[in-house]
Amino acid sequence: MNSFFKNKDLLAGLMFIVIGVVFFVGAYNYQMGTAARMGPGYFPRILGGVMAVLGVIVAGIGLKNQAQWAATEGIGWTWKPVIILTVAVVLFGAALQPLGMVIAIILLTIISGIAAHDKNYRELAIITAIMCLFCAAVFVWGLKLQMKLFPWS
Amino acid sequence: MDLLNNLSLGFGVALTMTNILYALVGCLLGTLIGVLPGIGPVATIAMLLPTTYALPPVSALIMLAGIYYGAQYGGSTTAILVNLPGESSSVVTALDGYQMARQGRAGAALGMAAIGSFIAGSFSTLLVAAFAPPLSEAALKFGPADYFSLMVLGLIAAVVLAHGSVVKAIAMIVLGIVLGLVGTDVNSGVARYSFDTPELTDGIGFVAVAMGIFGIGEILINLEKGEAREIFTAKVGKLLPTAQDFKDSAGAITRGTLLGSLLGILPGGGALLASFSSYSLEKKMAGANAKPAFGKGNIRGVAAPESANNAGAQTSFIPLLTLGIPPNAVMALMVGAMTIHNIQPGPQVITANPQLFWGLIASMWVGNLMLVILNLPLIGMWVQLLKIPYRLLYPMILVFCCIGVYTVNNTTFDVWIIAVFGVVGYIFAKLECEAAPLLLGFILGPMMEENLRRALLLSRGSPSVFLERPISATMLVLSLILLIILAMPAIRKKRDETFVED
Repeated sequence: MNSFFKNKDLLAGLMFIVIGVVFFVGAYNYQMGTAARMGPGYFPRILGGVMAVLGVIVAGIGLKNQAQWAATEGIGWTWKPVIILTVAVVLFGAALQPLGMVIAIILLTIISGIAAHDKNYRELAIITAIMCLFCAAVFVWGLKLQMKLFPWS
Repeated sequence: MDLLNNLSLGFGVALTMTNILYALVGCLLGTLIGVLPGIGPVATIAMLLPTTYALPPVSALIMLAGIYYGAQYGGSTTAILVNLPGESSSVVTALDGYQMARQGRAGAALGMAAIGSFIAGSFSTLLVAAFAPPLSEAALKFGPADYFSLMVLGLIAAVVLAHGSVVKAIAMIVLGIVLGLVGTDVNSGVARYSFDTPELTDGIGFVAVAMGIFGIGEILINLEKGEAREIFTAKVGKLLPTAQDFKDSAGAITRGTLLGSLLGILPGGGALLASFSSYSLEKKMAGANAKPAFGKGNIRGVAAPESANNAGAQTSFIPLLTLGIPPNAVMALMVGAMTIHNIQPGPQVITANPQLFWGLIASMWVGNLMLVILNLPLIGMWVQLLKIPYRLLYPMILVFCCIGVYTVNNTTFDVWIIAVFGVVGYIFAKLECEAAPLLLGFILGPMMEENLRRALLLSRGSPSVFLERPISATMLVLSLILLIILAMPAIRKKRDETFVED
């Protein structure tokens, strides 16, 4: 059982099948129409179906080569950086409008910096300061984009 | 002498102070990201798109184009000096270039790469200028059915040139097309797959998708790999290659330029394929008794791929400017750039906006000249940049991605989108699903649906229209032939070999 998780083709195939079915079924919410007068559901339904079929083929190829996949080292997911970076980006988004660009950048660089193997907090602090200044100069003062710098500005 | 008139119009636009400045900024930025591994032209152009809002459209496109061909120059620098291709299109340059550097001939390799690139760039600029007008005239005769079939051909060709599994690449294209359909349907006004989220009724922003997958997704993969970088200490040596080097490389540059120009025009082509193929060609032509052997520091192995990738980068503008169909992911972003500035890419650009069209073409030559003159003296500076560790680089890239995507629409929602597509991009990479075809599908999806709809409306629902129109039929037959060729075992083996060169 465990060795199926090493099979990249099988997993990719399953992914395509799931997404394809979601779009195929979802298309029933919209009018199908006829070929001459296509409704909004026509093209997505065809594509969803095609994608599911392609998924079956990919998964099938994966199953055929299961013995070879089982002998590989496995995919080796490393979720830690994925989670850290996602949290950092989401917090940036949440902070930008209410708290301003400076705080958002600080959150983003410091949190994302944790994901490095060889982290160095002093360097990270310097980079954060440089980025805040640079972005303020380029985006807010230079390009005059609509962004506030601080919570009170 | 229409060509001369048009070119002089173009140079008139390209040689204004502002546009020279933007070409310079683009070239320098391109070289910078070309030097830095872990960030490519797709992510950079996506990041900078929003900042071009304020610029006039010509200047914006000139700068973005400069990033693409500038990256080809920069990529070769690190490939030669530290055996670390900054750009995927420079992977083969590292094979012989780094060996030359170890023999103390880094300068000659760098010089030859720059000279080859310049010759290729000049030639392909002329090629774009000569072929774009007749092609766009022909494109005006295209009906909706022809466009649809042309896009099918383009997407199939993109698959042929993608690495890895063909079925997976096709599935990724289809996935890109359906993602492109999210949002309000132009014909009926129905919001599709928007799950009652108001932000999704406008569709998923392609800048967000590109930045998520190519910006954040790549960072995640790089973080996982950890860092293995050799610090360059050797001397660069004399930059001017010897007379013997020129004699050895002349043929290689010519062949690289021709092959690269050709492969750049093909849908799915561009710099990457051009450099790989021309290296293989050169190696084959030299045979087993080449001196020094290929992979042991033969200057032809530097000159050919570097000429080819620059030529390919430039001629890939031809399908974009004449047909409005992007042949690769970078050109897909250029479509976005043009749309931001209210320019509909397609055959009408050349007549409706001649200044923009010829200005862009002329700027490519100006940019290439700047790259040769500026970059060789600046090599020392670029090498210094390599000392910035990745642990500091990636937070900076993240900041630019996040601020960049926010400024496209001034919505926080787009920031969520890149967070999601970052994870998605990581999963794709881990499952060996190449993301470039997805981006192409994403851009072409809505155009395909529109043309399919119109074609079938005109034919009253009869699908035979695609075979009755000669242009459309030719495209479909070509697509079919491509698919059949792909399925043949001998070709498949050959294709796999091309992408795992040595």
